[in-house]
Amino acid sequence: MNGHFHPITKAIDKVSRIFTSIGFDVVDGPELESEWYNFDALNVPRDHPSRDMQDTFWIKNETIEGRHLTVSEQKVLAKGLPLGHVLRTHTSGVQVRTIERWVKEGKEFPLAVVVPGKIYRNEATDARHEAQFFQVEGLMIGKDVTLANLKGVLEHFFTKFLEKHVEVRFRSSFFPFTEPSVEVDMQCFKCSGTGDSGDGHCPVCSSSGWIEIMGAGMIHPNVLQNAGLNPREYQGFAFGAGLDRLVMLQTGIDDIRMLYNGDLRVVNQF
Amino acid sequence: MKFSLHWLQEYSKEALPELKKLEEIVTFNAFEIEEIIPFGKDTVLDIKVLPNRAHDALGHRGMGKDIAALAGNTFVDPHEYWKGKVSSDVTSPVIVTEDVQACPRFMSVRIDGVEVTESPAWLKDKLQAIGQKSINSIVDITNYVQFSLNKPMHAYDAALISGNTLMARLAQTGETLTTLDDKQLTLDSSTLIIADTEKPLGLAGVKGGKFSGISSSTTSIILESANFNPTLIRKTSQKYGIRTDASKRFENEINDILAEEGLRMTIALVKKLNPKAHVGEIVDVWNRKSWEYVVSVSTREVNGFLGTSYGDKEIEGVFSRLGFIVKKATTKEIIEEKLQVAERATYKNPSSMREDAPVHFSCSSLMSFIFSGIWQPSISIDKYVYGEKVTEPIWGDLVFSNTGEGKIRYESVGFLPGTSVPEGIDHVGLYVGDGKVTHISKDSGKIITEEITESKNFKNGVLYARMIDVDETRFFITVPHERLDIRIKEDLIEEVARIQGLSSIKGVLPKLQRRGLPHKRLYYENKIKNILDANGFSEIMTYSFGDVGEVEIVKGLAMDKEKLRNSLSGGINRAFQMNMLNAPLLHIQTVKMYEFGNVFTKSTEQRHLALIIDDGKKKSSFTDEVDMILSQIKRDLGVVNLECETVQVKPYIIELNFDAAIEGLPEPTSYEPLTPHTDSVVYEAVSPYPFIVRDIAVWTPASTSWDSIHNLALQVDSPLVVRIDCFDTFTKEIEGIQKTSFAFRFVLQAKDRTLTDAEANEVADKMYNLLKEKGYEVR
Repeated sequence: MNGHFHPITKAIDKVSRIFTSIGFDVVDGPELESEWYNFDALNVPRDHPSRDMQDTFWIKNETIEGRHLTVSEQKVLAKGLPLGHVLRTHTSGVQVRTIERWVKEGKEFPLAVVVPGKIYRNEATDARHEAQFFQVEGLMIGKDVTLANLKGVLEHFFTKFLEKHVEVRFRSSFFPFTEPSVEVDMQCFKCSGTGDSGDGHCPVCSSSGWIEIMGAGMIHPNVLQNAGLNPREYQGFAFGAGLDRLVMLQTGIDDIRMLYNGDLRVVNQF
Repeated sequence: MKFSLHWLQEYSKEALPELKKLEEIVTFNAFEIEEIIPFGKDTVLDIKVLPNRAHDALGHRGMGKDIAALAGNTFVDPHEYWKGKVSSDVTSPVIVTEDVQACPRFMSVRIDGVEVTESPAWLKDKLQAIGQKSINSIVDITNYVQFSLNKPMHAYDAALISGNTLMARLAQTGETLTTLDDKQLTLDSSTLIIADTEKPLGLAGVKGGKFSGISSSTTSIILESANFNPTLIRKTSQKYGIRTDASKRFENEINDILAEEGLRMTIALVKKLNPKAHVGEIVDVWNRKSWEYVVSVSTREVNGFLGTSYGDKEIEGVFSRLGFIVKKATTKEIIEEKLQVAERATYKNPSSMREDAPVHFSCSSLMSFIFSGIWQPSISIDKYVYGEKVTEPIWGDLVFSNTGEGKIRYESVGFLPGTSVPEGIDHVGLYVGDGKVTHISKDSGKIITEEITESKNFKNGVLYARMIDVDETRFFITVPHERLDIRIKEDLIEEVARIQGLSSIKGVLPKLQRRGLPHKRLYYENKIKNILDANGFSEIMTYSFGDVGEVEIVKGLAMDKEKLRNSLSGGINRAFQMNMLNAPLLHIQTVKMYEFGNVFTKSTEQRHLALIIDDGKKKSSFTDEVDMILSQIKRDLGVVNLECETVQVKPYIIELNFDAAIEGLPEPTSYEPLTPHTDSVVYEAVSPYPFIVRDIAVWTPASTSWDSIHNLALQVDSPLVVRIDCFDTFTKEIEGIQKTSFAFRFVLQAKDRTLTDAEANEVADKMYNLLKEKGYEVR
């Protein structure tokens, strides 16, 4: 008899199948990340209120030593600045690492990747909040990549992931690493956007017809520059979606903690 | 922040749209509305203002202005900014700012003949609507100004201020301050305070002190309207654990210009409530020059970034609606205009755009100045690295040279730092056609135009780089002073996108003409997962935190979660123990699980794989089964050596360094999908309450099937029965008759409570009766 894959693994598999088929590579990066990649390079400066937008687990610097440092990290230290470490608060740090690799290896643009991976937030846990969860980052950079391309990619992704046509809409927002920034809503897959999945209500979208699913935008020129690209020549989009939320919405798992306690009563349903 | 709808309406000439429409335009085009609260005849909107708009929209005027733009209304500023007569009998306060960086502007005024009263109803109502308590007329006015203009204000009782003096200075170590809310603070020397000639009065930009506040006996007031360094305020606020409406605004940065508006609005209101009050002369210590930002964008750039097809009219319309001053011109026209402005300028190096333009320039600051509204780096070599390299220059390109004298740079400094330019650069000018360059240098001392080949500064050979197509028509925007978020063209593009409506952007899937590849870990991990899946293993994910490990978190969620795991075996073993207890619920004898996860040491982060298998019985051994799986993994992956650590034998756990295992393997050339399973989309919630097990064995006639027993058992029709599983059956001749025995187990559990034995017995009794009625013999 076959065993069972964890529902997050199944989601990552699906994400990877969808994105590799439209030409995006799947990449990864470290979970224990330096503040350069997690914040500085992403246009989230030290001592700036935008650092408060994410609750962060900081690492005791004295408990790490001899870690491999990239050229960019060495430059921070060479400037005499301290280099703190965190449990990454998003997969966005992999943006800068990936661009750096593309530049260094002289790879061809457009660069198009997705990054499914575990991230961490220092917040009290309950049925909807966990200190660790999964995100999938998406990134595409070229000479003429547009916000319309972002919308096209997301429509394609949600439609394939949920196996039915799904519309996507943008709301104006702010993230330090994108400009313009948008919040992305997807049409509710349960009620197809009608707000009614049977008895006049829809439990999945609270009858609004839409589900808030991710943040996205056009990559801020400072981020491109920090990663070694000239923003006069290159532009692109990035997005970051919570995988757990997608899995929970789709399967009906009502408590995020059930994904990480190793309980086979959950896993064996998949 | 809470906003009163009535208050916001004051900034629109026309009526605001009805609430539903207003909610929609604000939500989609600007801000997230967290809550809408009816408040008497008014409505309160709780709007989430993120850091990019905290410079302007944390006040009703800024929010009102944006909403007016979104609604297509005309913005009006209803406030009065005092421009009245100065009373010479009032002694102006003395203002001292020690540190220019810490306090760029400090304005103050003294007003005599003030009566502190209860606030008038209109003022009280406004503050009450947004959740602010009314204190007294003067304090309420300063609060009202703060929530109108986004400019924190402070009023002191002049009688309690020594020396009629306000100083913004660093505290002396050990100085103490009692805040308005009776907190005793011991200050250190990195804390900026407001003090008089004798004592600290408050934490600058954060909180006022107790002993200088306004009371009912106050008759003279001194107003403080200052601006402070955002980082300093943030650090002070964090250090003393005091966050206030004021500190929040200062740490997000506001424009110095608000200091004057805030002060004049406050004076106007004090005069309104105290017509006989005497207003002294305004003192203004402004340590830096006011600076107007110009940013530009072209229609082509907007559409090329958004993937839209807006016309000039639509884009210009957005900027007008926002109240931006728009000038439509080519960059060439702007450069020519700016060259005229700078005509008489003289050479100074280094020179700052803010302090010295348009009087003094260095070669590079002149270029930055004439390209007003076109972003480019400051330093000459950085401009070259940024620009498009050209060999056939046209009017408007930059000309770079290595003069051979002074400091020549061979690597970029601030833009893509470290980019090599072997020719070396230390000078820059503007190419104006016919082999001529316009530039300023130490030698000329002023702006000159000369033949490149005859120029002393360019004689060693030149490089050309194009900043922009100077003939393209652009919109040059003078940014409203409070909009500190608009500094580059992308910021303008965002304004177009949100005001035009993000919904008008149509999705376009890019065609990449290739298949993507997975990273190596994912590729080989999926291969292993498929093997484990085929062998009946379930995958789990556990926490990266725990109480064992080398790497520690500064402040974890709990004492036992402050370390990062250095192996997976602890977590998987704990999960095993829990799942063994649940074995009856799961209807499994042997628990087989694995986890892939990152583990941490002081210097590394590695991906491990741990595998656990056991049935809880003393004699059973699973080494053969696991060895067989491991050899299958080796074969499928093409690994020669798979180094595994046997962590323990009971339950059987092995762990291996997955990264090390795949190190020598080839890069993937395609994606390796997981073995498809039928998707169980509907998840059944698991109960957190304990279950109870009851075993029953019955003799039945030999032909009886388990199905018929199972169906009979189901007739107990209790929601508490979560499983009925047969665990043993055999047929035997008893007293000459063939009989079949079924031993089965049923598991009882409630979703909402712990079951009692009595409840379980009741279900069991019911089941016995059903079996007996059928004529079966319960053993």
